[in-house]
Amino acid sequence: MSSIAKITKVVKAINDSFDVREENGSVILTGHTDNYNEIILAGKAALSKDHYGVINNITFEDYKDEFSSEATIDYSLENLEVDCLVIGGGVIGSAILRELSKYKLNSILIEKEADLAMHQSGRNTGVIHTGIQFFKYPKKALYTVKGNMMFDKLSQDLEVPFERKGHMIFLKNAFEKYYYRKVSRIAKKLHISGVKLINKKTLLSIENEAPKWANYAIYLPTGGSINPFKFTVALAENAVENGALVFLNTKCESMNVENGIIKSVKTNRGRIYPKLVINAAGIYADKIAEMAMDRTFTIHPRKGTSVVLDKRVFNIASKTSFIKSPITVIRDENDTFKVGLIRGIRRLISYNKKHTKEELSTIHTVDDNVILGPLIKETPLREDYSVDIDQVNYILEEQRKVSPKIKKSDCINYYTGIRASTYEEDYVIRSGIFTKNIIEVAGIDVSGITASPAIAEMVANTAIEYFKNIGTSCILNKTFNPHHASVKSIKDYPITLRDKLIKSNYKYGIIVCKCEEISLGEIENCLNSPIPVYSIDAIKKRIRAGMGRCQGSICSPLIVDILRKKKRTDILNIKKSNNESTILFKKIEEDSR
Amino acid sequence: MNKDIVIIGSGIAGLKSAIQASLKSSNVLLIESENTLGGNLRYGSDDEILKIEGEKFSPKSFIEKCEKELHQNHVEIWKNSFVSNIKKDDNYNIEVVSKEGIKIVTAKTIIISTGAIDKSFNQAFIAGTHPAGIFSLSTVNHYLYLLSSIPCQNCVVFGSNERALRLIKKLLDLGVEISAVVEKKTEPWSNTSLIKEVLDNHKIPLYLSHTISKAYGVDRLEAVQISKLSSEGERIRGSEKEIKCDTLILAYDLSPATDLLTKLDCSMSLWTKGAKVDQTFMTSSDGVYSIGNSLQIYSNLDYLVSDSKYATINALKYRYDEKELIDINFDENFSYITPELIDLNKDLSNIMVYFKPSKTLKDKTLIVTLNGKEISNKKYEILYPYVMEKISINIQEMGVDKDSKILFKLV
Ligand SMILES: Cc1cc2nc3c(=O)[nH]c(=O)nc-3n(C[C@H](O)[C@H](O)[C@H](O)COP(=O)(O)OP(=O)(O)OC[C@H]3O[C@@H](n4cnc5c(N)ncnc54)[C@H](O)[C@@H]3O)c2cc1C
Repeated sequence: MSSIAKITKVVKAINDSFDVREENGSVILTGHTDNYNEIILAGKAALSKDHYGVINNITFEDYKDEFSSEATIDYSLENLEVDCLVIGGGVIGSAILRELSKYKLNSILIEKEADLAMHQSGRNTGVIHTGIQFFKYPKKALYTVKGNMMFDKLSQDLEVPFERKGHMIFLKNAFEKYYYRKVSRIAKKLHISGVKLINKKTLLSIENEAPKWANYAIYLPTGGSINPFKFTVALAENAVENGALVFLNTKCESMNVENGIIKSVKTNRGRIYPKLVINAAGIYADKIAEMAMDRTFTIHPRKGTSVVLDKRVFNIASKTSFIKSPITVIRDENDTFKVGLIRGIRRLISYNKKHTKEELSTIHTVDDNVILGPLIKETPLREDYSVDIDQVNYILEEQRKVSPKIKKSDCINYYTGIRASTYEEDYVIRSGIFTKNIIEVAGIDVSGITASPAIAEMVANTAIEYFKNIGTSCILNKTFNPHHASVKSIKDYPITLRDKLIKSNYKYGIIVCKCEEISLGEIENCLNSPIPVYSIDAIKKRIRAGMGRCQGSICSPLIVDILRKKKRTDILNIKKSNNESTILFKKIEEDSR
Repeated sequence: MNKDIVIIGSGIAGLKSAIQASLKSSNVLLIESENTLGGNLRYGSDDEILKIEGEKFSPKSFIEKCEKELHQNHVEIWKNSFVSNIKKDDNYNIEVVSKEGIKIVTAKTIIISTGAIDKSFNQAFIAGTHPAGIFSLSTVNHYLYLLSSIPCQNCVVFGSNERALRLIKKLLDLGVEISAVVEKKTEPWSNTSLIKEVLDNHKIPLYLSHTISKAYGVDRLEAVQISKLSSEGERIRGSEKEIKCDTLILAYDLSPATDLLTKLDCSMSLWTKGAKVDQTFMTSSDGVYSIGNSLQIYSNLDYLVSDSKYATINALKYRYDEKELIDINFDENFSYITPELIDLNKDLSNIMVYFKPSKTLKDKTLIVTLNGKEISNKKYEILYPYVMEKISINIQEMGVDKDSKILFKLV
């Protein structure tokens, strides 16, 4: 039986009304259902080695899969001619733009939102992965391991806080050491250095807050953490400092493709004429590929819920980030020893057979908060960031097994992020197949922060290759400066230095956000940066003003007033995030006061 | 720089404490992080009347009067000055950040009067999105009173305490619509006449035993979902109801601002969420006193003022003594009692004890026992959970020692 016939049989078994066909080397699924799970199952069933990928066009309920949020319309970019157009201001687009700015090219990035990193790149857990868990997916593993190694230098160049304190996988029983042998084999294959099995004494010396049941741990010293938002912004700002341009509130709406060449890209701010397009549109990457007539994959959104704990509980993960091994079973309080053991062995067997569900982790962030999660769920909605409290409660409950000290009252925030996964589960990084002047950088779902430097390097090389072939000159940008002065948090400075700074600029001595001790000076620095954004959320993400215990209830009105003054605008024009997120409706007339 | 006493925070408690201190000492410092004195008083309408020690004031006139008195009494006032940390050696070293740089002030005694703050949105565990339009009550007050702008057109208010009702009154005056007031508790959290005046007269529905379970909207809030609560306080599935609104105002009960107390490693009360203090309002850090709303949420200004003064007098007299602490115990009819500790080496003749009942209680007698023997009682026709009560007890010359047991009961 041909592979398409096989696929058809399996897909029909899921839902008889689904249709399967082969077109341009991809498997195309069509149909309609009110059961979302069937769509995911069909997508997975359509995987095959003989095709580029799965194009799953099965529709769900009356849900329209369209771009969200209205865009403001002007013609400020009409007829703009550029060498390279990057679509998407997440970490991937920003890292690519920075790599491109190493060349004397005319490169721009467009982002549909009012700020950078509004989607995956601003809604993740900031872990710099070791790569160990991606062994089944060659591109994920390759770029993660390579990207991981680039962070020491990059974080220094961009002045972004980064820690490499290692990751731990805890094991309970001696027989679970079996899992270590597996991990160490993978580590060798992927060139992940330093992986070792450690005993209770050593693990406690590295992580004194390890759970009691953890008798062994697999220690992965290359693991780390970073502030993903600061990192993305720093990449983009450094690109701008080196001559590239970033346009926010600019959405790619359609493309004009002729004879396998993208002639122009229509945006809400006018039509742009690029020589080369780079698709780094995250959750919408398949839509962009479709516009470019180069689609071979499908993005199916996966929502991850995470919980943030207050700084005061820093002692839960004071040094590392950790996770329970996927084969370890923690006994419920009322389980007998035997039941626990049997469940453990069952888990071990089922783990060998198929992939068990992802484990939640306890993550120590560079900002000293603890994040628990993420808990993953498939969703039809690409940008629905609503939170299900049952999931929050579940996370807290599950994590209490790993870190019994966690209390519900320590939780200061919870949020969701949506991963842009493909059915193939690996990254799609390639030049256009049907369209010549596009590079697809899609399916960057997990570990995209970690992999971004390596992906960017690779994509920039491909772009330069392309420009050489079409005869566009692309010489090195000799003035490229890799160093970016990020906005620093001065509360961590030694007193004498902080005192000196305040004496040089008194605004560093006016504290606006009391929970995080952020000064007016730091807020103003933020607004004097290469890509200034005048919204409450932008300030919050860049310098953590409003991220503390009161979550901005004290400082947000103060910041609104600062933004008004700096932007010289009416107070009603200051927004929480994008243009639609109004804060204030009207002013109180003098006489009605 | 060395000071006899440093007062941190200039709300009513801090202002009154600083004035009191200046009567006994000429070396007093008052520190405020904002650029004006007054703390929460800054959010008061001019037509609001405060009765303090028998005199009537508008919030502004009260602040002005205090400021004048402080100047006359040569109290040093630092505005725009943020206490970043307090470290202890023989004395307390207070690190203060201001426009001039970082100053370190040394003092033997400190009064913490940093007031109370609103709990954050997330602690309500509301599902759904986090768009613009979800504000805590103090944020709305700040927009209205200090920035003269209105952040709402159509609100749902979560909480029915007095602060919430005062704000609703103000918003109604400004032409804002109030669609509903949602209260988790089984009864309204303020007195009937206020409920009648503000809610009933304007036909604003009050949902008791309900919670906000979900928020809708991407950019600005579009609606909230409310759910009924069971008697155990759990959400009843299937009882959900949606209410359209562009603003959700979170008017929870305030909670004491305790950042500095935590930095000092003070023992905290499980019940008030403020510091655990003795009968002179001294915390577990010797020489550090906690007053005003950063200790407990006062519902009575006169109590707040007299306590602030009393604490200050004690603070100025304070010299290091061996402590001999015993607990005050109480039954489940109380939501809290303060102080929770009595220091047997301090005055025992007139101990002021405050409490709030856990719910509205009728015809109850408060009985205080010492080692099982009744030493004091008081009858109450009615007790409201949002109204604090005060009782003074005298245990001097009763042979109290460190093994004695004091118990408060409502029967
Ligand atoms: C819950 C969660 C936890 C994670 N944890 C980690 C982690 O710990 N470590 C790690 O390394 N990785 C982690 N990841 C993965 C990582 O966040 C992503 O891989 C990475 O951010 C992907 O970046 P991106 O730039 O491809 O996508 P995005 O950040 O989503 O950027 C794409 C951008 O394109 C824009 N766009 C889309 N369509 C258009 C259009 N038509 N016109 C203009 N702009 C458009 C979007 O608005 C968006 O800003 C996590 C992800 C999630 C969801």
